[in-house]
Amino acid sequence: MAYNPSDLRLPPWILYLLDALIAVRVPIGRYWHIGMTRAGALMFFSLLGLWAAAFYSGNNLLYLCGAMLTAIAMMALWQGVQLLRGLPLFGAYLPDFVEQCRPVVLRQDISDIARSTVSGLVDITWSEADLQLSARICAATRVQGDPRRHGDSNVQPNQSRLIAQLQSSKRCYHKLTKQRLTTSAPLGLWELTYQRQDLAIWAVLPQAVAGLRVQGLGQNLQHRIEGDEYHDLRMYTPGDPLARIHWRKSTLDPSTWRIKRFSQAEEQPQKAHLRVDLRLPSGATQAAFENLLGLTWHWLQSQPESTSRGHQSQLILGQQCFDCSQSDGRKAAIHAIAAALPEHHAPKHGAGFLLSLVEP
Amino acid sequence: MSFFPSKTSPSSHAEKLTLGVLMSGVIALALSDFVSPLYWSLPAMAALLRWWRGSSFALTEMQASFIGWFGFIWVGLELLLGRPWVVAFTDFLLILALAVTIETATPRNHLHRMLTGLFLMLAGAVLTDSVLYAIPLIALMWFTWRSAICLYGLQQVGGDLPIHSPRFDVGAMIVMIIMALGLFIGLPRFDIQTKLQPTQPRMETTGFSDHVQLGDFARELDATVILRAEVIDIDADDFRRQILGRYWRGVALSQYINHGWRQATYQKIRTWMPSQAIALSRATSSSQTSSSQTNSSQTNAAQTNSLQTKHRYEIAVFREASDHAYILLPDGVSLIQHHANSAQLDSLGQLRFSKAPARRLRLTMVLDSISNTPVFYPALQAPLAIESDQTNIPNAIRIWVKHIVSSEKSDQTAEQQLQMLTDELHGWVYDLNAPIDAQQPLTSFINNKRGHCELYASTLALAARTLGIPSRIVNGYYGGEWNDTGAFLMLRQQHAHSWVEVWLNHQWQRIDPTPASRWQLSGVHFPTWDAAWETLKLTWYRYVLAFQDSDREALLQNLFAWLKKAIPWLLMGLILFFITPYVYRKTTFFSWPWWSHNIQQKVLDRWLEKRGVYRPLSRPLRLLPIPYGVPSQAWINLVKAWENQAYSDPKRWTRRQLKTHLRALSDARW
Repeated sequence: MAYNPSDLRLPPWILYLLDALIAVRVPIGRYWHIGMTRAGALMFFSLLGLWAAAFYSGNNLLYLCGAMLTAIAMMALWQGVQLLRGLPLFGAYLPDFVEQCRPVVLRQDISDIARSTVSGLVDITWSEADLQLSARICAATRVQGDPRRHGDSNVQPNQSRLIAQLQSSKRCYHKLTKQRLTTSAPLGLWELTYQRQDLAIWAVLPQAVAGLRVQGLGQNLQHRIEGDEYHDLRMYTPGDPLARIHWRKSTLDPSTWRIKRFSQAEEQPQKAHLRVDLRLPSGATQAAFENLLGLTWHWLQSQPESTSRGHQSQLILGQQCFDCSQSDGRKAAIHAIAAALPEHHAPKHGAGFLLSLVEP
Repeated sequence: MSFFPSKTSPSSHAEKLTLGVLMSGVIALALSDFVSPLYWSLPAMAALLRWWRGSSFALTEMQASFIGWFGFIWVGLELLLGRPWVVAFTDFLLILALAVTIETATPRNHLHRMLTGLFLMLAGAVLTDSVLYAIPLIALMWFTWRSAICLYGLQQVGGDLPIHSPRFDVGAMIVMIIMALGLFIGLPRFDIQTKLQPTQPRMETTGFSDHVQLGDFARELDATVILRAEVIDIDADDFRRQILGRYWRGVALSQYINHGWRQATYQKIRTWMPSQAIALSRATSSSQTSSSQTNSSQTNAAQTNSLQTKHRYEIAVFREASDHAYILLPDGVSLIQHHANSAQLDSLGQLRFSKAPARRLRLTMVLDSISNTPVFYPALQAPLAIESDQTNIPNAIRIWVKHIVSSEKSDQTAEQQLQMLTDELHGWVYDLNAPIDAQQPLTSFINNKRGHCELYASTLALAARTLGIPSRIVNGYYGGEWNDTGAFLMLRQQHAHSWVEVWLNHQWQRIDPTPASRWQLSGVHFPTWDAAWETLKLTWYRYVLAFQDSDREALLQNLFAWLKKAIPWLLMGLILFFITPYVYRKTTFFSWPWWSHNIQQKVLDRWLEKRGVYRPLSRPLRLLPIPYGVPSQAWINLVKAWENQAYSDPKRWTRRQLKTHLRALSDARW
């Protein structure tokens, strides 16, 4: 914002007072709060002075000036409210998961707000998690009707975009519900906050820990990659081992990544089973538990998602069982790893390699 | 730092828009006559150059600050030289405006421009009351809105936000103006003191001082409006008939000195405080008008006699700021209300403020209809000795009187003799440009038999004294001009007039010796345009500058009265718009796609858009992707139900039913 009152070289104590003021949030309705920016605080006090002069003197031209500035302030408030109310649900734009301590840059075009006539920056947070996104809403510059309804190719679409750097230092899993949208658009005077329900999953996985050697599909694949020819290519899905990406036919965009498929693997159905014991012995640390989950996550990443050729990979995580060869099961397994807590019971019975912190 | 990367960049927009804010303030202040054109033309020219040359015409912050400091010192000097502090302050603001106009465009400069523009506008609110003030005010509103949007978008995360098309803001602008008017009307007025009231330079008038030289008064066809009067409680046509042809009494001059008149020593009769209504009692019970009044006034009186109108009515008088303190009293005035300053009545029948007001005033007067109008209100005392003084009467007048009176019958009364003199004067030529001998003005007037009203009145007043009748002249206004556009009376400076008051039959009577041809002259060159302009000015003054709590009450009462009248029509409209279609729909099987289906589609589309699905026109729901967060099976069920009700079931969903379905779908997510 290019009109910060600090540009006026105000004394520090005034800026300190302004900062104390702008920290105040006043409820103005159900789900709505209002605060001031620094410029807004100056505007507010200017208005106070102006109205005091008008009331004191009865000068109707001062009344007009005060009414005009008040109308501007109120219209800014109204447009800010309209902007926040018209925003789509942003939960859909969140990635399925992120890894602990690994920043993910989110730059996603938003195409659902073509009707917005106000440009502005909206901060998006959820009360359940320390997660912050910014939506850069750009008003349409040329609109002759609704482009998608009328097929008018001459109309420039707006360039609204969701920007965020997602990073978490701690493994967690949250079902996000209460979303808080904050903006000072369109004039940068009022800091409006709107709380609404936007359901989303925020899953932060542990850092993958390599080193697990499990007899099964993953290990076999390692061998095949060294010499065998691939049969064909398929699209990348999260969880595919990076070693199987055909990098020469892929670009930096994950949506273009191609995964090599090997005929031998398809002919010989493989089974990979992993049992993870979520019990935390008394002497073990939380770091060891996280390491255990990191190993599990690494194993899960190495499992291909295959539904047609009979590959099977099963993960037993404590008392839960997941079919990781199915996308739903894989997704559920990812969420379960993110949400995993130490348990008191031994893992569910089943075949496969057992991963445990408990001494046999 | 250059702010002109391209003509369409937000920075370039900001540069021009903040310049617009500043110039709106400069124009607002330039409307004030207190401000010298030199001061406001400098920033205006600098802005034009800046607009034309762009960043190549710019000073650094340091250089611009020198201009600001120069302005500070300059204004200090002005104050030392005795310039009023308000004017000196505005001069400083305008020099500051020059500095920030040509300063390099930076965010700080943008802020400076906006703040300076706003201060200039506020200074204009105090120093001008012109109707043209509305134009820079609205311009400032537009430029402030647009520039604030633009500045907000600069240097944001991810780069400058694009500024949207101005036409998107037209609607917002209209709403803001309506909102501002609502606030203006709705907020209470306290008027604790009048220091910040809008002021204007006072008009300089002659003829309203204690000593008036002959030739000073009423010699120019000056079209400047000095007073406007509009009716409050009767029909405009009746008002026009009632108000035209009245004399507006100002100053009474009793002592003739060789080249002019001097006011006699008077006694203060009564003083009224601002909160008190001025009740002017009837001193003379005469309801007759002088036989020598002009023909037009007689015609108006005759017209009025035929009217079956009320005998008293209320008018609002809007007085321009003049340099004299006299309250002009129209014939038949009995009550004056809402006067801002204290006022006093003296023995010469003059009513004046304790101090000449520095700004426009609105007074409310109660008038009697012309049929009941006596010659004078208020109470006037018997003549002073000086009003019979014959010491300075020129010989030419004595000879002229002797010549006129002696030529007729010798048994005539003084009143008849006076009538003869008046008739004689009515036959002379009214000429504003007649040569006047400065040493002997009345002698040359009698010789030439042409001159202006002051000479006619002086001649008759002195002639009356030679006949032994006490007399004096009165300076005021007569008649006025009716404004058809706004239905109000205007008194211009060209309506300034002198007439005579004589003591006859134990009462003061008015005699007007000026020929009627005087009222055919006018200095207004474009009457239609002038009428519209004056109407606009009065409207501005009436509904903006002089708006009071009582006006709001009246407005609300009018609105309420209008609503009471309009209730049957409103009810009928409601029936037409809501009940009739509903009943028709219930009684027929006709479908109303525009009535119900489209509303449902809108609800559905809005719900879908919130969940990341945009439905092109006429695309069935089954071809759309599953909205975000909705279980696939629940979505398929909804689509089936929707199609069923839309295409086969005669009972379609209402809007409420659709919302219930959608809510259930949203809740089914987790």
